[in-house]
Amino acid sequence: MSAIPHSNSIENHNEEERDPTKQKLEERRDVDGRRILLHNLNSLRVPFIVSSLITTHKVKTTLINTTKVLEGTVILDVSCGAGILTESLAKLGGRVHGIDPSNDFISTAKRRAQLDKSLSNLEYFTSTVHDYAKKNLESYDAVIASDILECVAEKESFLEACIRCLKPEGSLIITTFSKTWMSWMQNVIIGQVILNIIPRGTRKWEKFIKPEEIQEILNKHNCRTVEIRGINLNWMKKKWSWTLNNNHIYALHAIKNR
Amino acid sequence: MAKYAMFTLQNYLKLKQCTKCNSNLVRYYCSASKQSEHYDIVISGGGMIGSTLACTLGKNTKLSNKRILLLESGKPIKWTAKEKYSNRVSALNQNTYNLLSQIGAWKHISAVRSAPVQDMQVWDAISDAVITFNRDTSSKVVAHIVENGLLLDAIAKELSQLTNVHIRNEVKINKYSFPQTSAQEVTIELENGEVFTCNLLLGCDGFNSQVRQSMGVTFVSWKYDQKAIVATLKFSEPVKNVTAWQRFLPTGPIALLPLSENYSSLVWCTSPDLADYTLKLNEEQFVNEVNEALWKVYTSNSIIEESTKTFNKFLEWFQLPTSNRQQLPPKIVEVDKESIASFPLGFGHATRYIAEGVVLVGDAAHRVHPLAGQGVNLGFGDVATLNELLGEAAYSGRELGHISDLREYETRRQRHNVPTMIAIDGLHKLYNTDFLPVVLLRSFGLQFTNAINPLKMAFIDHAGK
Ligand SMILES: Cc1cc2nc3c(=O)[nH]c(=O)nc-3n(C[C@H](O)[C@H](O)[C@H](O)COP(=O)(O)OP(=O)(O)OC[C@H]3O[C@@H](n4cnc5c(N)ncnc54)[C@H](O)[C@@H]3O)c2cc1C
Repeated sequence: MSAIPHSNSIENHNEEERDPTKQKLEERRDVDGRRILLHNLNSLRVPFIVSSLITTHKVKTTLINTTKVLEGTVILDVSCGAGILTESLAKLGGRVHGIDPSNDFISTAKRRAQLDKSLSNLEYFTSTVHDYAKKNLESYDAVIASDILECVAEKESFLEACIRCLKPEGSLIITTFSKTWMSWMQNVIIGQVILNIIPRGTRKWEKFIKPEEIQEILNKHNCRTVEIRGINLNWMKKKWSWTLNNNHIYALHAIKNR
Repeated sequence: MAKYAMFTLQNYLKLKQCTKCNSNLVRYYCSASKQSEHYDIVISGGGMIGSTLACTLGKNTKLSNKRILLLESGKPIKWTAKEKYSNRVSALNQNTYNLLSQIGAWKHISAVRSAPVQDMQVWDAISDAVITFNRDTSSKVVAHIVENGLLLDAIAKELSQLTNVHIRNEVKINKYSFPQTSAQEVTIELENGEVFTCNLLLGCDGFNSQVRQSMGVTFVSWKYDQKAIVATLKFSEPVKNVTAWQRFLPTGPIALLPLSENYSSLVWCTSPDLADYTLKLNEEQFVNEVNEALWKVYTSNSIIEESTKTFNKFLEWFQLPTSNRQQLPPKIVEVDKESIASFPLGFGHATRYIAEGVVLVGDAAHRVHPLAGQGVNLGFGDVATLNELLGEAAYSGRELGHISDLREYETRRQRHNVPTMIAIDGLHKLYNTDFLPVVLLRSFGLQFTNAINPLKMAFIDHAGK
């Protein structure tokens, strides 16, 4: 949910007065709005997170290819929004914590989670990552920062706080937009202005960051980048796919050194 | 799903027994029946496609936490291997074979019997055009002939070991209710008052699909003015029976599918009048009719003969192989009287395979003419695709039956099924005439496909997908 924070906080606020059961089902089936983009993005980022945790041996081999593949792992979803990704990870058995500075988001996320009793392994807290890191040093097998970095001005201190929450040899997983002309065209002009898929102003190209730049920050803070994969969005079909070029959007996996 | 009151089969049976002695309980039962039992997936129709789907999904480790219910209107099948072959058989292509092997059903089939098809010969009764399908000269299997009952029994054996799949036989469904707004689940009401709810309903209830009718999707359909006669035939002597034969007659195609050294299965599509007449014959007369259909020399039109000769020259000129010399099918001497039966034939295609919370699979979505032996294979292809997509969705933490996954299923399957169906229907229409230009065209078509190997491979490959 983090990718379109501002518009959704208004939407979700209005939904509060509705019957929660009905709302849950509606939310579950509500796919034609902007949410479809994020829902569909899960089909790339969830497998990316799962395979990252498999390569770092955080996943029991007997659980691979089962619905409990993340059982035994502890995961932090930073700026989780209303929890679209967080819930998906919890469904796969991980102990998942979602944090977001917005109270609105966290209460929506909590409400959604309460309606699915099977999600007992999921918890939400209203907090910035900086505050959260103070009390949760080296607690997580994986920290996820999906579609948030491009909204953050102070990237280095944000990433540093994320890294502090990671156990040694834990995985930091990021998805974000690259700062290239191509991404400017695709995401700012087409996405925000022409198609109106991303609400105007939520993505500022000045805040986009190239993979090399992130890598540099991560190196400085004792992390080694092990994988970068380009992501392509077919705007018309609202479908995401992997691509060899990191010029638009990309996923990055880094491991915290011992 | 604890919020749903469980109304189990045991409870139901207990109540049903009580109702006989105490009429007050009838009322209790009726009110109890308003409560519903929830499943993640309900499959309506336990034919070859529905049962295979239940078994495939039930065995998918990525879906192991899903509860599946299979509803079938018929009795549980009891298959006992008899010496006599059943008259209902299917030609299963390589992909279907792979699917059945993967879910562990093939071993039960191979433990009993099945016949490999190594080549197919298709020829035209009026022109001399022949096409033979086999993968170069190697003995690779093009299809497997399996009795439908044996296949269902093999699946049932595997299904009985799955704890996440529940099966209910002899159910009558009163009504399906689909999510109108996206805020509801699918509800299934049985005639006995029981109610089930589910996140995803899979309609596998055959070409008269009640699920499809309840969805209200458009079903483009027509009846062919033909009936299919099926029977088990015996040869005069044992032969190496690895060829599927199909001859196009002016009245429709006649096909022999190998069963064993001595037996083949007949699928003969012909005009309703001729079919009714043939069905009334005694065994000897029936055999004569079949032999005549396979062997009768039609007075071939001289224009066609000349043209095809020229065409062959043309092929030689381009150094393409000319038509393989036609081989002849073995002579039939006997028919198993009890095996003779007939079926009406039709074409049908649902313009949509999906709606919110519901998917059509197999003949419920598409029905074809049996001339290419593709009907059930298309359905097995649906099963494999749906299984893959639902598994991947769950493994990505997505909701079961998310509309975008259902749309993907529809797109992928229609992309495969529609061209296949149009080709089969076109083939049927092309062959259902002895109008000269069409006969010429089709004999060229046949010879040309025979000559161009890559094209023929593509033909087999597409049929195999
Ligand atoms: C003569 C002939 C020869 C054929 N030969 C071949 C061949 O060689 N190769 C090939 O691939 N295909 C062949 N086909 C086609 C093939 O038989 C069908 O494609 C196949 O049977 C379809 O399977 P299905 O499970 O989708 O539907 P069906 O076999 O029709 O099964 C539907 C099931 O649903 C049940 N049902 C129906 N309504 C309800 C309800 N309301 N509630 C609960 N249950 C219900 C029925 O009892 C049945 O068990 C042939 C067809 C014919 C007629």
